Amino acid sequence: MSGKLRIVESGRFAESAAPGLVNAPLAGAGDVILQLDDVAVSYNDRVAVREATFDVSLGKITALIGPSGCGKSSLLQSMNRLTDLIPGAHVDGRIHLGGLDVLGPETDVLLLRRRMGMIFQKPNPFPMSIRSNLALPLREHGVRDRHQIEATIEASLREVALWKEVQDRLDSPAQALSGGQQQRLCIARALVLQPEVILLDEPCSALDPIASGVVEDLVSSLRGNFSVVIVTHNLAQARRIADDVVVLWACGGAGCLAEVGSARQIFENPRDPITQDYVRGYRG
Amino acid sequence: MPSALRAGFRRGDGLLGLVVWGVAIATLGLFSWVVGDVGLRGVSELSIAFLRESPADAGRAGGIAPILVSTGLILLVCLTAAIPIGVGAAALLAEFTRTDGALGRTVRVSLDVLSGVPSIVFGLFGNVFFCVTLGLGFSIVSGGLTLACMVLPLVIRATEEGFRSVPDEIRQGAAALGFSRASTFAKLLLPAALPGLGVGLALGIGRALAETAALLFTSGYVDRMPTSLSDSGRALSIHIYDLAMNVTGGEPRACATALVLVAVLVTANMAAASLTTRASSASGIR
Repeated sequence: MSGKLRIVESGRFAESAAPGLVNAPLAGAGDVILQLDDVAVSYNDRVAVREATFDVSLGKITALIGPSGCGKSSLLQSMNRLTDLIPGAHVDGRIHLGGLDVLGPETDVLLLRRRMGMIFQKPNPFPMSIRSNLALPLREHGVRDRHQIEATIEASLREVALWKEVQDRLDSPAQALSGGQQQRLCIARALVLQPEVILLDEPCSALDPIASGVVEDLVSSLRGNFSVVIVTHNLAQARRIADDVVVLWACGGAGCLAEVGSARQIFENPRDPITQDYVRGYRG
Repeated sequence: MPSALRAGFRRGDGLLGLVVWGVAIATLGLFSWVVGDVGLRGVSELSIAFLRESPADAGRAGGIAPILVSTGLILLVCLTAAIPIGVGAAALLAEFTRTDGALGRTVRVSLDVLSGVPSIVFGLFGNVFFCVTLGLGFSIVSGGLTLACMVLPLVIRATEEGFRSVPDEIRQGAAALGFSRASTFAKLLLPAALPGLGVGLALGIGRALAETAALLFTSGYVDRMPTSLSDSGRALSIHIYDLAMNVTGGEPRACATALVLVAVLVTANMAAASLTTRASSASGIR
């Protein structure tokens, strides 16, 4: 808990020095931060996912679940326009982050990605020291003040419960950390930029069970301070940490939404027959 | 039978070991033979004075000081031109063009052809282009630039491999943090490509130092101490060639110079290797 307080503190600290690095305060429950409206992702002529319409609530954890190949990751990558990097990828429909038209041609993609952190399946720390991993994104976004950088690094490492483990070796290579520690470092690296939304693409699936549990608890602790979208094929995990659940299914070769609802409703009282079979383990 | 099988394996292993050891010893032997032969003939001529004096009597007496300086300057000009162009071209190939695109393919094929072109052709080109067309004359600059053309393919291809060795997860991670392409390149990709550049430089320096034909027509063979880069200067390899072919009684001095050349080559290679290991370990890239 103290970690969370600290990062808010550092956010305020940031406000005085660099107004660009501050979260809008999280408003009351029920507000929507991210809206997807009829989103379709295709690669060349192959449609990966279509007609995806759902909202991501402010400060909550939204899980995208479904079997492999139903377009969960594609959908996630369309939200911060990482699909721009894939040759032949094309996103249709409308995505709004607050008032920002994510898919608009005028949108500043670099600023968009600063507002939306992303964590990948395989931990991908940069091949440099732990400290540099966290300082580099800050410098990239114009933070020059050394004290502010140090304070933000410490706050984000505390937030991911890594501070005690690495405070004595901030200058040793990040790649010497264990897999679970690397993944927490990657989450810290996303947090230093104080994003509004954090996108996680199966963040636990490359980790051993113990590290996986630690990361899962961490993701769960982000609730309230950040809005989280997590892709997982682990139903039990979705059930444990999600507030809202989006079920994707493969229909006719492309991914489509089967059902959207609260985690409780999806897991205890699914309306769609596919969801029923899926969450009970009969299908998928 | 298992025991027979095991015995067979053992016999096979023995034979394989023999072949591997034989090849290794043959390689080492060949190297020692060459260096030893040159050494035996030249070592008596080697002295500190040999390294510090100017050649006299067409090289039969005196030393090789101006030749060492010219060689160093030619190499300096060569690297000054080859490193930025090489890194730029490698980055273009690896990061800013599509692997299967027409531009990338064309450049890559041209480089492969270029690296197979005999050095005498580079020499003629350098003479026509740098010495005559650009009016640089027989000079250290002409020679260095000609060598740069020659080693560029090596530098580019090795550096390109360095860029390609960076996993895509790193590029994705940087993009997801809102890094611009330019800073992803400068802060993440370039440090990671340094070991590749080092390999390219080691190969390039080796080829440049060993070069005779390309320099004969470009930097010339004046054996005076150069006073500027636009002076003609004689490289070590040309000095060896001249002493061995054109100067009667020059052979011992040619061998002594060859020994120095081998020593310079080994030193340059080791320097390139240690520099890049240090650079890559400083950036944390294994």
